Amino acid sequence: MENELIKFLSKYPSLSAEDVSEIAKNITVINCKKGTVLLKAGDISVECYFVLKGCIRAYCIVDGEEKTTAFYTENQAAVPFTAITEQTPSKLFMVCLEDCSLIKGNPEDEGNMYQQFPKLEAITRAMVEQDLGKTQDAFSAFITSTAEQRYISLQESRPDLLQRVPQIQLASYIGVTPESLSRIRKRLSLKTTC
Amino acid sequence: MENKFVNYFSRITALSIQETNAIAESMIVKKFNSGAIILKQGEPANDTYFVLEGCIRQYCLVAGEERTTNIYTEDQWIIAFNETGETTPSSHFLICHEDTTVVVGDEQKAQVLFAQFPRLETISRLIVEKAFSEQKKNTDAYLIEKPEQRYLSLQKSRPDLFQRIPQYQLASFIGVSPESLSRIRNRLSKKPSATIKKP
Repeated sequence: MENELIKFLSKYPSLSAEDVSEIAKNITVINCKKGTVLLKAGDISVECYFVLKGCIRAYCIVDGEEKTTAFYTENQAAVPFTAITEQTPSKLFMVCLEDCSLIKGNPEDEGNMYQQFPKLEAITRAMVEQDLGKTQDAFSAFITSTAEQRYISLQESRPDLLQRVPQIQLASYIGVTPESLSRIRKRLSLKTTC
Repeated sequence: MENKFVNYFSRITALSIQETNAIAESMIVKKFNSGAIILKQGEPANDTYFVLEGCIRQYCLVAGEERTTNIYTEDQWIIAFNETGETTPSSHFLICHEDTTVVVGDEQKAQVLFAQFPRLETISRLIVEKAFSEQKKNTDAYLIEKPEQRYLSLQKSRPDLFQRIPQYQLASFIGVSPESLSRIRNRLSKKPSATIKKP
């Protein structure tokens, strides 16, 4: 999986091949089996992850029901920011939905890395800015669209999720019951066959 | 008022006099009147803003109807993001809800500052992370909480909005119709403790 890491870092032109191999040496990559719990609600966490391969699901439990808030797949950062920045107990669980290969970090290691490789800090900021933009758009889309539109846009933006994730979790991520999701899917499949 | 910007940074990390001066010298302050539209849906969003004073509302048009997707007040950032260096068309409008003074962020100027004072890059990363964390919290609340809970958390986290923003815009920000919001308010006013208790 080291290769995945090197491939990822090499995408950034500001890093030389030498930087890349030095950075890779300093990064902790962990392999987790499907089902591994990375974060539990109630934990005060300082750990963050970056997905090299696999899928992490974030969810919380509301009145005994699991509500999925995110699916993190390849090249996405899974950072429980609120738990880290506010040092409050996490509301979320984070669980590996598939066998995963992850970069694992914490703010202290991160700070040391930036000292050693200042260029990384600019890369991180750009990544978080992109994430912020995407989250903002997702939020706007969520309040302004119907569940059916959300399903269609998910189909367009992250088609792989529809194959990788169980329907029941997908439904809660779109904000509907599993029954409504299956009605939406039926309706859409009728439309395309007509 | 310009000092507010420097103070904001100093609250994150103590700054040297050189850093303080560099920030103060490079910042661009702009004033807008209430009602001014500073970004239109579909236009490229190039600029980042920091609100010194006033209130900016973010909304999109859905079937001719305005849906409020964010409200920015003092000390908040509106961050333009560009993927792969190219600006994407904005998904929303930004309108000044009051007379508003902002600092306009400029990526090129920022890069010059960062090259001279690398610590400012760290501060800017922390700011973006904080903005991201707040946005994620809002987004999660939509999936996790009922409108009544969202109303209560907004009351707690940003009580000033209730004085500054008309009810129907708050309703759309919370994700309900104005009628539902007024039902929620009625219901809560009957509960003296205004907290949700499980039976």
